[in-house]
Amino acid sequence: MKEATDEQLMQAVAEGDLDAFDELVLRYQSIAWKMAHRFLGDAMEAEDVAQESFLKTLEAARRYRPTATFRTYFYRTLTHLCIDRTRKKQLTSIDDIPEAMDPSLSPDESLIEKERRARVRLALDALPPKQKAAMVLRHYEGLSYTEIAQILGVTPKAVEGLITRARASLQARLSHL
Amino acid sequence: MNCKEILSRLHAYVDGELPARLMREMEEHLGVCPSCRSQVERIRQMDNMLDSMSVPPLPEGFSARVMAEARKRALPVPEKRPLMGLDWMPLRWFADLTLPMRLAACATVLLACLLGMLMSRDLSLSGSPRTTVVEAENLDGFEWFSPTPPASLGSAYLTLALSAPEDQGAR
Repeated sequence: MKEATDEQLMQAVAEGDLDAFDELVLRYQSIAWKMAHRFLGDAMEAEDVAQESFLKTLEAARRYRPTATFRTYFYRTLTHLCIDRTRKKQLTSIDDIPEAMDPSLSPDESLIEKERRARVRLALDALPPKQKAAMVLRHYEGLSYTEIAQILGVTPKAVEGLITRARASLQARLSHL
Repeated sequence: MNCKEILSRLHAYVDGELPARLMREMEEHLGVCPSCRSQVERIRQMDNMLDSMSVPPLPEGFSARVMAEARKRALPVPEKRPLMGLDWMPLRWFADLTLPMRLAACATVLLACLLGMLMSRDLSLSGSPRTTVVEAENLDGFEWFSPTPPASLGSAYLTLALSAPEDQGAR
């Protein structure tokens, strides 16, 4: 039997079908978790935002119209929640970065690795929210400029500008590593 | 393309977001320009650095927690009101709109009504007030239906009231 598309599931959710919603959660939970964690750098905040993105999707189900793919629609909800949360959030400190869990590393190497990841985290957190969103969606989620433009409500050319500025800022902060 | 033009599109090139023709032009330039090539290398190194940021596995029971919260907030199933055996909901689109969109729709209808009223008023004012002879004759035939038909008490009162100022003026 042919599997229902995301858009068909969403139509079913609009009619009160919670099993369809469960299926959407299973399909998108990994995306939501990874994106929120990369954006916020904190497990508790990431889980909270990932959960909220699903609940917002449920609440908005009746207003959903399949004009864009559900994937883009979901990313838009998630990204805006991440941007809102990052505006309220304190900058990450180096002590918040967990230890590297790679057993092949010596204690010294583990410390260097932790330092390196902390610098990357701080450099990402220092970006303005829209630049950070464009960078996370492009680099980690592998979305095209056109998809990012739909998510952020800007033009693909503006996305290119956001990514160019974000990379320049990251390069300036990470060049010494 | 010169170096300045190349550098302005370098990030789109690294991301593979340029049209095929432009990608070829960029590659041709990068093949002969070590300075621009080193910039591409720097971007790629920085991208590799970003890859060092790992994400822990999805917390256990995540979907179950989402579903538990979803059941609490679950949408009531939309009530269907069959009319004559049909699922007839002509205003369903209106119920589905958000509040600002509903207000905008109401404002549009109101504006259309006001415009209609104004335009019909203009039309009635611009029409000729003169009554033709035939219309006047037709109207005379209905004088017994007026509030003061001829030879009635009302008619006599009006005749007296209208002639009184003339009498006063004569005195």
